[in-house]
Amino acid sequence: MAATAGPSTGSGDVKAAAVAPKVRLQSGDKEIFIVDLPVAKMSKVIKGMIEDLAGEEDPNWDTLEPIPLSNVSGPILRKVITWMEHHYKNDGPEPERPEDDLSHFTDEISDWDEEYIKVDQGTLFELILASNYLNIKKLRTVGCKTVANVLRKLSVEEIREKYNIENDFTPEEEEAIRKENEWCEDQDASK
Amino acid sequence: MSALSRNPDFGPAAPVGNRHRRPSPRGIQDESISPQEEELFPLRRWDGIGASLGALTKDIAVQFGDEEQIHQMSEECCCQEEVPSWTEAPPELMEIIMGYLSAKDIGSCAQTCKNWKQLLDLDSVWKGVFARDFEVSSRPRMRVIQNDKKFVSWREEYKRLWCEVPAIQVQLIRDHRDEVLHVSFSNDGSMFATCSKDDFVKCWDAQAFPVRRRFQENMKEHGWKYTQWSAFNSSNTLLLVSGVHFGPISTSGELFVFNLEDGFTVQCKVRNKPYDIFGSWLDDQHLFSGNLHWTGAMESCCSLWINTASQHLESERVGVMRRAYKFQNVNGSSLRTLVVARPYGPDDETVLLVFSTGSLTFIPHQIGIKKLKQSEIPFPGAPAHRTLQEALAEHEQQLLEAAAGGQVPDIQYDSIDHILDLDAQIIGLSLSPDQRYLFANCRRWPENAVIADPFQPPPISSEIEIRCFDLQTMEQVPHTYRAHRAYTPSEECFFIFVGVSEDYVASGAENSKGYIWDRKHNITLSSLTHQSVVNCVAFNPADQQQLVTVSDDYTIRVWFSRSKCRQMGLTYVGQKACGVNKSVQCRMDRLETKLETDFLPFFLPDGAFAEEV
Repeated sequence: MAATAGPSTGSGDVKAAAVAPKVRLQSGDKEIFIVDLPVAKMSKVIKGMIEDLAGEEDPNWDTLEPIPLSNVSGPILRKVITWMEHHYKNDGPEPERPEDDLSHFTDEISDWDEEYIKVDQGTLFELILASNYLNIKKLRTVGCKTVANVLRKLSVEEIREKYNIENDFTPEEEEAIRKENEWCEDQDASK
Repeated sequence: MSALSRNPDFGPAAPVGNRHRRPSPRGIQDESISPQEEELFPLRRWDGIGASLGALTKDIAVQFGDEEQIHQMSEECCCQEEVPSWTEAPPELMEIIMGYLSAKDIGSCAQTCKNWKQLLDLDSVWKGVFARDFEVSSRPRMRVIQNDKKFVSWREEYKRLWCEVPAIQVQLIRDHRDEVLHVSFSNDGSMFATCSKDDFVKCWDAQAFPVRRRFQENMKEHGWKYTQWSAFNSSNTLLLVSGVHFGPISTSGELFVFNLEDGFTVQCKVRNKPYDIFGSWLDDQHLFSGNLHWTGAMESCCSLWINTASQHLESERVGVMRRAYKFQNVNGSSLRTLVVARPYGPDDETVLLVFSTGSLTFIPHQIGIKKLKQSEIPFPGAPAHRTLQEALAEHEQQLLEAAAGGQVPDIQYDSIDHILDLDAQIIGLSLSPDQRYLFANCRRWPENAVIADPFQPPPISSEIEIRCFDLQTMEQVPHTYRAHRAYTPSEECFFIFVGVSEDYVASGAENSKGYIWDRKHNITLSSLTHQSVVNCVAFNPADQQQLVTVSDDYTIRVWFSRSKCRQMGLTYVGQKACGVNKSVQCRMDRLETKLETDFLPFFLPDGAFAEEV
């Protein structure tokens, strides 16, 4: 690992730089994906797992066990990898941001991402869950923003319909909540 | 693209984790849970019932290692037509999604079902939305807000700052015929007065809505060039008006006192020099005026006079004005913007004379504070007041003593007890309602600015900042309010006054806007749009949800908070909450421009409101 590089592992690093090592990722349904190491590391969780698996030693990437990602299905993992590869190639590794950084509120969704995220609701939900599980912040942001963009255009009834939510309020409860939210009803919905 | 291959020979079947479990930072540990342990976690499915069944089958299939079935299932899962239910979406994701929605949209979401309502009532959701909309990004500041004794929850805090800040323009008054320079409220909030370059002073009834004009006086008839400033006395019976005189010396000003109980009659008239000392009430019946005389090329003496507000002479032997204090001005500077403060309350002995001054250049860059004791203030007509004969005798005596000692007596100046150097040009001073805090609008000099020539002051920043000082400790309060702008250079720089209420601070600016900040949280709450420089803002002291702004666009605008609008049955079209460019105006604005009447007809149906572009 680059992070633990010392004199003893120096040669391994050179080799790693020359031929990008590949890691195998295994989806919940046991599909195996072979991905470039730095691309896979865009997921903080995969990065952590690799560090755990590889330990201090320079691992033999060919015999290393596949990383099990049982919470992610094959088709979704494939889509996630597509995203990671595109963004690794175009933006490099995700920059570290301080926890209270608010800039993601104003970041625009790129054209590529917009095209990428044009999927059905089920896939979108799975993608968001996967990005959350794999800790890929930027992908999660893109997904959540897309959901927010849909939500903000909808009325209460439309939200229930679109997201398959059952109304479990009594009419009285519902009225009380509506009243409770009256104060911000004049807010411009366009942000 | 990655090369992907399915490897049926690969290793032991990894147990299937509950997809809904939160990932741990070391997610790998999750994978070691055996199927037995797995049952400890109830299957919380976000899928619809159908999908849930499918997934369950899939889980079983995986456990039994049926490769073919797994593949099939996963394909199905991804391409399913039916919509998954978001009822039980993970809270951390909901929090992120809500971070992109307005408070209103969050309200809509909370109305959908109990689970979402519970999720969205979480204060962590509102904390994020608050930070975003009020642009508070630093943790320490969030903590300060949270520790405030008024703080209940982030949602309530959001609600307060959204609903109770006077950000809605409810009336536009086009009555002055020139730039409007100043507005001040009476202490009971029943009236406000406006001063303008059109030389009128106008007094408005603020209790009525729409606001109506009660009195006005054309000061041209008194030889004034324009009215610039006004203040009500503590019993709200008198109005002190400060103006600039026509004449060869442009720095000459005058003060008038109008009687508000007697049909706006003049009952006092005092010379005031320099005019930008403005004047100030000392108490209900006494006011300060200034006088200036040069003692050298760059030095002058500023004297402050105490005047009785009523100059109907009861006896020719009772004085009505008296020179009380003398201050020395150096380097072409002079005393300006005099403010009288009682930082320990109205009944305390301590009275502070606060003013802007300078020691390096003619531009005011310091706040001078003179500490007075109420019992030692030399009121005119008081027993200690010397007669002219006594004064002359004393002067004679001094000269004799000087002759004996060979020295001509110097002018006896009063000392200034505190000097606060701001390294900035001071363009306005105001007090908090309790008079404990002093707010100074200023424009910073470049760092380490050196002043070689007092008539060449350093360039000033286009950013205005409001600094706040505690007049009990003379320390600067660690809040600086910024956002407003000014562009005129030092020499032409006009005054922009600060308005302070219990919770808010407001100021005009040269970028055609007024701004409101939260006093404690130091957050920009709203901007108030005019067509030109906003010279002055004033909160109603009896109700901080009402504000008046005046501008170079000749208009006076009255602003209410959203809750006050609701109380008054006014509708409005809102823009976004937070920060800048988010206040609201009524269409009346435009109607008014055409009609040019004194005030707006307020009987328009709801539909008649629209945003101003």
